[in-house]
Amino acid sequence: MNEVVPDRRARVVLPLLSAGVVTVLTCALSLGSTPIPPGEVAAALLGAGDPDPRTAAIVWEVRLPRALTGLLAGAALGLAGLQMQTLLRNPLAEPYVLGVSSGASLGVALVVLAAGTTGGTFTAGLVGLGRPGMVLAAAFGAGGVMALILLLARWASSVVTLLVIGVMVGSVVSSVVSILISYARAEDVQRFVLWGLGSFSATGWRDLAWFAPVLAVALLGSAFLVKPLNALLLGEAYARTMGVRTSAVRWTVIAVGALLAGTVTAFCGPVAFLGLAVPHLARIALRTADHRALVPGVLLMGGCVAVACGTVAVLPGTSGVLPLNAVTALVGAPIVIGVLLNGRAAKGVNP
Amino acid sequence: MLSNVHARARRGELTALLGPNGAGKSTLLRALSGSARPLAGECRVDGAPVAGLDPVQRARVLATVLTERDVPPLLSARDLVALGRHPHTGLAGRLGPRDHAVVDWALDAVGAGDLAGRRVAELSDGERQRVLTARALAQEPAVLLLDEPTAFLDVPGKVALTGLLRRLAREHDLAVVMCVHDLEMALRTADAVWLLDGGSLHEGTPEELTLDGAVGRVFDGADLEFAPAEGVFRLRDPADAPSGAAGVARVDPRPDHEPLLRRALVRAGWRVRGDTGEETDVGPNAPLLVRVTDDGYRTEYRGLQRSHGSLGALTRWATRLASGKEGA
Repeated sequence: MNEVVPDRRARVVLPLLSAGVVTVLTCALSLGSTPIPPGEVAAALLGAGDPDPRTAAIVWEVRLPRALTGLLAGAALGLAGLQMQTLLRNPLAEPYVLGVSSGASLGVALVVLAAGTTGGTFTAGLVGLGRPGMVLAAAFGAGGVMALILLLARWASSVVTLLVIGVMVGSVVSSVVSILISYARAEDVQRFVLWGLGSFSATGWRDLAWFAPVLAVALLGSAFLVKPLNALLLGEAYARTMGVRTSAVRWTVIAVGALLAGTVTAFCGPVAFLGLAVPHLARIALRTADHRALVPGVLLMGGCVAVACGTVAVLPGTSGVLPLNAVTALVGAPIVIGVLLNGRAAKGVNP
Repeated sequence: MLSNVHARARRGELTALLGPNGAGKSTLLRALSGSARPLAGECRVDGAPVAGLDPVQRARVLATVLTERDVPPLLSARDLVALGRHPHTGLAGRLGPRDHAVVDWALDAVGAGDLAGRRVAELSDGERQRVLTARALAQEPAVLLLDEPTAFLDVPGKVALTGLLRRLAREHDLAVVMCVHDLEMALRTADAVWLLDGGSLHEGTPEELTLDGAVGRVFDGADLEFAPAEGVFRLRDPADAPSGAAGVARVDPRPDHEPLLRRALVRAGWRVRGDTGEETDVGPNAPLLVRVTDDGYRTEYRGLQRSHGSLGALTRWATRLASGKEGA
């Protein structure tokens, strides 16, 4: 008998999560300032019958890109968080704590603010590249700060030290961003602040054409990390005795994490809490530490939670939109507190 | 730290790596497991140098149980043992029928078959150490290295685990090398000993090393000495101890009384002889005579006789006497 997933529970939970993804996607397409019944949504998507062109435009041009963005962003952040938590063996690790957010902010700040300046600077060249330039800047910023923190980590005596170093480096980078902003034009500052609130709504099909392939490649690449991540459950020393090239795995996890979180951050802004909370939710649902079940689990759970949060953010029936980070923090922070207080029951990694 | 050292661990034998703190036990073990590179020298398994193997091949030959005790609580014992299949599985880490069979075999080999479904967090220290050993066995190695496997176990747990390791070595033709602190038990249970001593390594069976005095040379201290015949450490006779001694105690020599009386009175600060003699000395150098009677213990010291209802009462009295807090 060959097992694909190790746990019988996973065979029940993963299909349930898939059903959940379908459900939240349906809600995301139906709900909003103009509610559309699911039947009309299906008709608009399939082009069946004679759909109302206004409905089709809302579904195709607004809600579907937003839902797909949320799905991909949630999956990416959840996976990046899971990998960081396993690598650092800490339930509070996530790419943003380790500088991805601040690094990406720095990259984006340089690009956004340079758009207002003239002259042949490096960033002006990036601005010329448009959205890809901004993504590149965010990913490089994220990867650079993350690599810096992990270099410092070589001298850190404990994981707590590493997390504190991450927070400190993040503060330094944020203050650099603040200084940059104080030299910027008001409208650029506003663009930057809006980006910082987080949103799945700003990505159209042209953005998704960049966003989706990059994330898909990173997500597929993560399939090869499942086996070494399982070996890392017992710590790097044990992983080495089992034949894992730990430094190669460590740098791959960092690179993949920076790419996943950096890309999401570039397009959606720094979306808080998903990377931290989604792996815990997946562990609670699957009750396992095995990455063969957890990786598909966080992808589905992340997509589910992110699309739900994105839908709630545009739900209020008015044309107003809540900041996405307000919603994810309201959902994520209680989960993280519960996980920490509940101790070993929900924890998949050691404190 | 160590140089010009050569030692061999045989298949089918449990080898104990012993030495005082800081002698380099863990460093040697790490060099053997390939996780730390020695400055010079090499480790060969069945004649093939380990350094020439890539990490995965090495993990198929050498398996290690480390002191790391933090295991994700959500992992089941079976999942944990299955991690040991890592060097044998493919890119996706998928377990085939043979892998499952090996995991079952490893769990059975350490007597943990019934623990398979339990979460690691729910296991006792002894059970967890057995499961971690099974994980190493699941690598199907030729050599099993263990760093302080008995450190957190109670005495029955230590005995059970070392017994298990020796049985594994015999039954599966493994070379098992463990570094341990518990010298007395290691000398009693190990088939061979590597004794580290300030840069040199003595190799032999426990009895050989005891006989040629190597154990005593390495471990004897100001207060403790190794008693080769008994294979245990004992407090030094206070005659040699720097603090000096209260005097000579002569105790009942019968074999069911003498060892315990000796131990109690040595600790109390007396030099002990195992005969009570007949002469009665009442001078300032008179010995303390201790006889066992039907209803307790009877002492005679400088002509004064006393009865003690229990060994504990006798010991406390002798301690006070030795320190001058009790008049004769």
